[in-house]
Amino acid sequence: MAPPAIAFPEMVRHHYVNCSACHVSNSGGGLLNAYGRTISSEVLSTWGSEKEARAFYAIDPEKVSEWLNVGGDARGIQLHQDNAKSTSGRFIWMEANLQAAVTVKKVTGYASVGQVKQANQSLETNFTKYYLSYQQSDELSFRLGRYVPIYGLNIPQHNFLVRQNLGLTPGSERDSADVQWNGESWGILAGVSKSRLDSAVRAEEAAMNLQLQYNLNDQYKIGINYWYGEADTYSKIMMGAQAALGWSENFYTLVQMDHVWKKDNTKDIETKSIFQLLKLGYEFHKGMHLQVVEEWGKTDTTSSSETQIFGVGGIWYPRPHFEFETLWSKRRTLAQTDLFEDYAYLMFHFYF
Amino acid sequence: MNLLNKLKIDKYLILAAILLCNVALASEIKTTANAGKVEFEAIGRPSMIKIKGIGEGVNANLKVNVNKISGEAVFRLDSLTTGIEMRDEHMKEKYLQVKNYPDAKMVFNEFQMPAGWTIKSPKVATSSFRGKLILHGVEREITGLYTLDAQAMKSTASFEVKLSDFKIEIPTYLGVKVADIVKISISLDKINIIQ
Repeated sequence: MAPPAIAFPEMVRHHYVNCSACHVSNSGGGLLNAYGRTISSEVLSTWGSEKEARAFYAIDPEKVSEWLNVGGDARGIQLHQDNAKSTSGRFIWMEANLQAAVTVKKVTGYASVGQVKQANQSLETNFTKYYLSYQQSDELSFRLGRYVPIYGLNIPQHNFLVRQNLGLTPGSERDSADVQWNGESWGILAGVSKSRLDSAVRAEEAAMNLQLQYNLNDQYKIGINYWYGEADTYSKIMMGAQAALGWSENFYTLVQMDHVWKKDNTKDIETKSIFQLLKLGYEFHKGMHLQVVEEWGKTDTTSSSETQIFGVGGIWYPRPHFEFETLWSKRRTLAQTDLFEDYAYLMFHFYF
Repeated sequence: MNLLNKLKIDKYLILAAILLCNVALASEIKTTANAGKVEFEAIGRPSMIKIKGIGEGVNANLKVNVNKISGEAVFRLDSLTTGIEMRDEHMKEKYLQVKNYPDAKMVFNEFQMPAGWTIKSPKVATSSFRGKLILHGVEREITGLYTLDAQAMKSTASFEVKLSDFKIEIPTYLGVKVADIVKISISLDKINIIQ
C-alpha cells in the first residue's frame, strides 16, 4: 500500500474553495502552509491551540512562513478482513516522510524525502515527490517536477475505487508539469506527465490531464476531468466528474464518477470500466465526523463482475497533528461471490 | 387693507394646514429590538478564501415624512462572528477595534423614496439608496441597493465598503491578505410601521 496524499476537499463547507488556502501545493495535499496549520487547530481539531499546531510543535510561522514551510507525516493502518475463506488482520506502516518548501519571491521549491517500502516495511530515504512552482499571480501558477497529476477528488483514501483503479495513488508519482488557474469561481488545470516503470503505474505512460472546476455559492465545488494516456502496450482515456458539496458547516458530500476506456494495443482489445464513490460526512462535534461510504465499480462493463461496497465509520481530529479514521464496510464482487465480506480499517496519522 | 389682512390670514391658514397635513403623514419605521442581521463577505488572497461573517441585532429608528426618510440604523459590531474564534478575535480587536468603536451606524437624512411610494403602499422591489455610514469612527457616504416588503415586514440592503476608506487596517494573517472591498448585506425583519 502506497503512502497517501492528504487533502480535505470537504473543507469547502467552510468556504475554503481552493486547496492553497491550507497547503503549499495549489492543488492541495501534502505539506501545510502556516495558515493551514492554524486552521488545523481552529477548524479541524476538537482541541488545541495555535502554538500547538506549529510545525514540529515549535516553529513560529510568524517568523518564517513567508519563505519556509516544513513538516512531515507518519501514517499507519490496522486492517481487518473477514470472508468465507479466511479471517486476517495486519498492521501496515504506510507513510513516513519529511517535507520542506522554500519560497523566494514567486518561486517555491518543494521536496519530500522518505518512503516506507511496502514489501518489507522498511524506511527508505529517497525523494518521492518534488517540484518547482511559479506563482505568476494570485490565480495563475505553473509547476514542474515529480508528483501525482491532478484528476478527480484529491482525497487521502487511495483505497477507494476511484483512486486505486485510475493509477493515481501515491507511489505513482510522475514526471509532470501543469498550469493552474484558481479563481474565485473557476479553477482550470492542464497538465502533461510521464510515468515511470519503477512506479506503481508500472508503465511509461505519457499523458495529458485537464480539470475544470466551478465553485457554486462558495460551498459547492463541482468539476469535470479528462485524461488521455499512451504507453507502448496501451492507450487510455479517462473522463469523470466530481463534487464536494458543503450542505452546511457540518454536513457534506463527496461524489465522483469515472469512465475509463483502455485499449490493449497488443491484442487490439478495448475495455471499458466505471467507478463511482459517494461519501456522506457529518461533523457532529468539532473534529468528530461520522461517515457513510458507498462505492461501486465495474472493471469491465461487458462482464457480469461488479464490486459493491457499503461502509460506515468515523474520523476524529483530536488535536493538531493527529488524525484517526475508521471504516467498517461490507463488500463483494459479484460474479466471484454473492457473499459480502467484512473489511475494516483503523488509520492513524501524525502530521508534524 | 381689510383685503390684505384677510389674504395674510388665509396664507397663515394654508401654511398651518400644510404643516398639520405633514404632521399627520409623519410615520415611524422601527425594528423590533435586536431583530435583523448583518452579513459580510470578504475574500482572502491569494487562495480566495471566502470569509463570511454574520451578526445579529440591527436597531433601526427611521422617521417618514411623506416619502422622505430620516433617521439611523445601529448595529453592534461585537455580535459579528465568522465561525473561527481566533479570526473573530483578530477582527474585533485588531481591525474593527470594537472597544473604541462599538457600533456601525447608517444615517439617512431626508432620503427620497421612489416616486409613488407611500407608507400605506411601501413595497419597493429593488432600488438604490444613499446614506452615511459611520464605521471605525469614520463617516463616509455609501450607495447600495435595497428592497422593502412591508407586508412581510422585511427589508434588505446590500452595499460594499472599502476598508481603507474607513481607516481599517487591511487584515493580513500568515500569508492571507483580505481584499480591500468587503460586501455587506443587511436584512431587517419584524419591522414596525407606526403611523
